[in-house]
Amino acid sequence: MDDPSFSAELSDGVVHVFMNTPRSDINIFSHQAAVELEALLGDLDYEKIDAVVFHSRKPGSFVNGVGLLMANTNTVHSPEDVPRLTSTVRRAYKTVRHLPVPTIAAVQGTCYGCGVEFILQASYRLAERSQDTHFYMTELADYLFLPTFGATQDLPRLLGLPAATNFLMWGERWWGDDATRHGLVDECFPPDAFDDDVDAFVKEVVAGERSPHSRRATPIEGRRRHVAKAQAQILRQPPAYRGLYTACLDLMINAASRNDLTDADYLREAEACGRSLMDPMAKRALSYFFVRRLAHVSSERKMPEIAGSSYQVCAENLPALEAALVRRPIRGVRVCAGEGETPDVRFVPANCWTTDADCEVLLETNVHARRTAVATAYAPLFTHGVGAVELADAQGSGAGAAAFQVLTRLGHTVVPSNTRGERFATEELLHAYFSPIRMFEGGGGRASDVERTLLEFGFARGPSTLCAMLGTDVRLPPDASTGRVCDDLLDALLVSLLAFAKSALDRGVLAHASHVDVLAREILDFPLCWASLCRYLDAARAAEVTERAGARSPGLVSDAAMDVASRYVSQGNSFYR
Amino acid sequence: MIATAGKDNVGDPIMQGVVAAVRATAKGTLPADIEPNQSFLLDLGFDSMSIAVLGLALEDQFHQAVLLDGWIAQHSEPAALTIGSLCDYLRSTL
Repeated sequence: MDDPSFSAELSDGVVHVFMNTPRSDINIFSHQAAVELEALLGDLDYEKIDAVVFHSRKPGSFVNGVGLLMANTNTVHSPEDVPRLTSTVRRAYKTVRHLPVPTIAAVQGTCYGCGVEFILQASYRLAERSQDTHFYMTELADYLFLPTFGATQDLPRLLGLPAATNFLMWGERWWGDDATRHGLVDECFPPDAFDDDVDAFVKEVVAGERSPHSRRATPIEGRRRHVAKAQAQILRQPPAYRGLYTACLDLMINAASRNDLTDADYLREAEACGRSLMDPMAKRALSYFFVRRLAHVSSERKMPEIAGSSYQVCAENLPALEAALVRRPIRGVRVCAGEGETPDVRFVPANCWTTDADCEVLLETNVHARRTAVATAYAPLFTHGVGAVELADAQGSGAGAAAFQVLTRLGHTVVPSNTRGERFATEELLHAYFSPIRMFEGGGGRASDVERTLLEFGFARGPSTLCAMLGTDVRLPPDASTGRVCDDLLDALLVSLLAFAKSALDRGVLAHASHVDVLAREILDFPLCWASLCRYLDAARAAEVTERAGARSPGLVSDAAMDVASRYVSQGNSFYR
Repeated sequence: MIATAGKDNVGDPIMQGVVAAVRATAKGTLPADIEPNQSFLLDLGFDSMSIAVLGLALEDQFHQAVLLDGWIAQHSEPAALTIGSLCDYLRSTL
């Protein structure tokens, strides 16, 4: 029998409820957890209680999930199934919302998706000012389905339509100060004073010195302007995504324009969620969750964390990284205060690199300045906050292991590679992506055709935007709507990426197909609607694409790439089983 | 076809590999015998995160990268994800 997910302690008339999902690294609001919470809250004597405070006992996680397995199984056969399947959790959320005493969510750790929807039920929300504690709506951004526990209804009313749209539809990630500024949380406290500050806040609530956030209404004219802007942004998304985003926006507009919401409004959202879950695109997007998780665990095997380890880190010549490290404290990471301290890892740019420090890890954002170091972290989109960092540490240095831990805790997806002094895998990936595009344009193809072809396939970020992010081209993106879809270009691009994947894995530059997939997703924005690069290019599809490219795109794929792709096809094995 | 039960699995390499992977991945205490009819969620304490990790443990056993989303999608409810159904899935894909 597992331990319960919730426990409660009474202190000075305040009930503190702690969530701690058994046998899990993160808190998951499962059916069982919902039953337990309802029972726990139902047993309280509210005549003797002044407030209920919700906490997490799970380091680094407040509430992260509710039921990805439910979403991924073939459970939903009609939109009406979703309200039924989620009724227990919905009832528990509703119980929290209607408790007869003030409720406070004291958020420490990541709060994702249904976790955000959970804290929206509380009267007040508080957050720790730390790297771990941030808020993110995973549903559309990561899984291509709609929320089901009220986010489309509650967020526009609490935050106003513009902020809610950015948060829910466009995947903005908010740390404590961001969440406070936007009105998602009431206050944000530093880690070392968090418990005391929460207690002081609760006392003020009990004393009647605080009142909950009022609704942040969006004026009608502002709403119209914002809706037009959001609709324009939806039109810039791949066609396959537009219906989903439009449905989300419609739900949010409805909520923002209403004075009061009823159960029917929440039911409408749940049914819309059901429709989105029935789309095969959502199933494929969920597949990427498994890919990313595999990549993380596979990377951790190469860079194992020593339990309880903490790291001293320096990044004095990398202002953006140093600021990120200082701005929000990270569990187990301490920034060196000055000279005289010996760091476990010193991140340095190429122009500050020395040969005599074992702790130095080069942080490369520009390969033209490449130097040879014990370990090198290559992150061409680092300054844009894009997650993937390739860590080349062939000798398994202590500094490399420390860099892996620090960058991971900073929120980056770190992919170990074994480049043996050759090009980084990420460079090869970028070359594989741009090579057919350049050949296409060199042969007279239009840039707008390139943008349109990739957009139609599902790349939300086109090559011109990527060029601008890399600093290699600052032209304005061509208008995809004026271009035409060129199937020969798409086939050539896929064959080129296939050849990269096969070659990087065969040479051991990357250790696992999931590492290829994470780089392709995070650097190139490989479409979620196709799961992942290696998932998409299974043996059968690779054979089709390679055959077509050989027949109609000969000038767009190098002979070397075609040879590698043909070898993969002839072997008949997919990257994944 | 459903994998045969506990002690009778000596000659079933798929079942043996699955049991080894489950034991390597599970976070809590497992039953002494892993049986085909046991549910990953209800009996073995797995969730979506640990099932994703199970794919890597299966790769150690079968030397093929394994993604389990296809197996999950075959089922009409999470509780139906059993040891036996995973064995059947792997037999059809490996």
